[in-house]
Amino acid sequence: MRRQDLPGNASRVAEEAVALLTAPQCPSGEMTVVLDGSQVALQVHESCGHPVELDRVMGTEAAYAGTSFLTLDKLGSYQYGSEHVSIIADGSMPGGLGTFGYDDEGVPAQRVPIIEHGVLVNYLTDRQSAAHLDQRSNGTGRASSWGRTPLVRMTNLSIVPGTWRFDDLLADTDDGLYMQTNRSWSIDDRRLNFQFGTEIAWEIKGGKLGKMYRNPTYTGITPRFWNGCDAVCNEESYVIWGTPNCGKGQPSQVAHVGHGAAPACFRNVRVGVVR
Amino acid sequence: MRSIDAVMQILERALRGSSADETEALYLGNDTHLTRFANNYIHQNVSETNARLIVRTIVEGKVGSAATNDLSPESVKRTLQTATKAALAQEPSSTFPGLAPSADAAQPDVFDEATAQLSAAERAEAARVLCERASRANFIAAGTYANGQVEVRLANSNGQRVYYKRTEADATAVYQGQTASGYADRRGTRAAQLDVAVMAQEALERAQSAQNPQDIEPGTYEVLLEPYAVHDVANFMATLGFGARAVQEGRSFMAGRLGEAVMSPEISFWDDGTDPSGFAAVFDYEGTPKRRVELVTNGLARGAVYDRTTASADGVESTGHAVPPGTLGGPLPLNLFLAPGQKSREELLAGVERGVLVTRFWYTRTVHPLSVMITGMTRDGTFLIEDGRVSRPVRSLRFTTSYLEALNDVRGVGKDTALGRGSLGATCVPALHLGSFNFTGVTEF
Repeated sequence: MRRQDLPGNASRVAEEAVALLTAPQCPSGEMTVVLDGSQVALQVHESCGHPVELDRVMGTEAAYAGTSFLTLDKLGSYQYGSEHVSIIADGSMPGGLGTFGYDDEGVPAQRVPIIEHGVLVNYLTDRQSAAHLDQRSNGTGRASSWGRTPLVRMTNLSIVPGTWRFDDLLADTDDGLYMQTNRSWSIDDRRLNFQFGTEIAWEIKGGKLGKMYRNPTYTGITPRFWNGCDAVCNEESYVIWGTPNCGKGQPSQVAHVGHGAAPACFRNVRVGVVR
Repeated sequence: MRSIDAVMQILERALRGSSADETEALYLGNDTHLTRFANNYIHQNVSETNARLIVRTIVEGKVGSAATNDLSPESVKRTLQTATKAALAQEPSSTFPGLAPSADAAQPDVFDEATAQLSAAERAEAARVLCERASRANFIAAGTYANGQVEVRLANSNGQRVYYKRTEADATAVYQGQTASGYADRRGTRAAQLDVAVMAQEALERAQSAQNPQDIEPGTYEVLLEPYAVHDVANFMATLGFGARAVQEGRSFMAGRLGEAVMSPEISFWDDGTDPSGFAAVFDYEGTPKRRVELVTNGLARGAVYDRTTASADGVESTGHAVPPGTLGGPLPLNLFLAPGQKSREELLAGVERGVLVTRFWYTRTVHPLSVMITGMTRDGTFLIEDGRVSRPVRSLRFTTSYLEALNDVRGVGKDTALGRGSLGATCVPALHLGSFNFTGVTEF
């Protein structure tokens, strides 16, 4: 909470909210997009976290949440993202909303690579789904309460920080948009076609932030989007964000999960579908 | 479930034990069962019996509340103390007009003992029918069969004593093939209303006809929305437009437009918690009896639904639409009806020159609340219609469109309605043929 510095940011956010009322509509087109860390966190959640849940892959969530485009034949070889994209699940990391000692099947929380330099190398598994791969559970069987069945749930699923300082990343971007703070999210039932909206966007021109835009949205197909990632910022701007409302299962279960993320840059992103 | 007498004792104990100026005790009980299947077999069978007591206390105009599912005398006492402590920590409310006065609310005929008592074996039999129909045709079924009962009681220090209980049954099925899937669902207050054999056939035919989908260019199309998809449209109208708080705060398209045309003359929405063809609930979570409220009549904005706080602000009476304690956003129409029209499904289809047939929507989210701009995906069967006939299946589409604008160009309304479930309540809607719907992307299946 203290790191968020709510009092210190309140005036700026208030001024931005007022300015957004008269800011121009976000332009449309295919362009370079830099996402702030909180939006990268939700992008990881929706387009990586859910499709690597092995119960989804095996079809047991098909009636409700859906299945996954990351079918078993892709394990170990599928180029999910660019070489800059490495994603780790770690239920044991300090300070995460998805941190615990043991999951609800008694399996210790653990650190598991999911995407290594763009390649799918593991799924999230509980005891039942792991058996399909002749593996042991990697400790993600979690229930929302005493009255629910454990399901495969994200723990802290985090993108590994890259090497870029945020200011350098902006300075290196000649023409693009910087989008901040999630407002809406939607993705298909195999986790391929997504569309996100953010509260605010800024023009990037010649390496500097410029004009403010309202109602920014961007859309894409998961592997194309992550393969267009050409930079992830370093630990200076890395934050463990939280998603306290991850829904799954029937009857419905809401889980708390964490996502370490830093700002990242994506090329050839389709922006601004709202008229 | 507890006996009626036992529940009343708990509520009366809460009222007697309170030292607050006003006290309200709300009991929410449920006894629910769900059998879940996937890959053509049952993989989950769960039951839950739970009861919550939520007390609200008012002290010198300050409002506090607390909840528990431990209904022992000691726990009820502690919960009262917590609610009162919370009240004392508040500033006096300038908007809360006090608890509901005493008024009658008749119990609707929405309880069916056979549905309440439906066994796991009977749910398994329904799952068998749904799985076998899929399996015989080389499809994979996933879905649920659920039944149960809910019981709501409210007592307050103004003498209000109201009660209802309702049974619910609910079946869903997704049939997955090699390249596409189909869907069907049924729900009602009586399990006997759910014909799973008919439902299985519907899901199968939809899945079979959806195989080998092709691309179409995103763009603006006419649409024929099955009732499964119209439920989503109705739910967003309800949550973004029809509640008095949204209107008062200017977040609703109804704000400042009462009496004006906001939709096509073909469209009439109303809310009626007393209609047993929906999931009737005859009083709201403040104990106010529900009234039928005309929201939109022949396209004209007629009114919004109120709880006690929003009604007080507008100088009117509550219509009985308070939401469960702890739910943000103000009153909502939880028993929403969209008027059926005259057209059979065949007639609706015949009226589409070139459009998209949508089985249902998925993962829909608000892009802009005032215009009811929504984005989401189609799912489980999307088709191109040309010259009044389904010409081919197409891949699932992303849309980003204003539901409000779409309801201003209505080309046809189905004569049959279906009951759907929203996040809090239920909607009863027909199929719709709409003239303009903006598809903004396509996925890979």
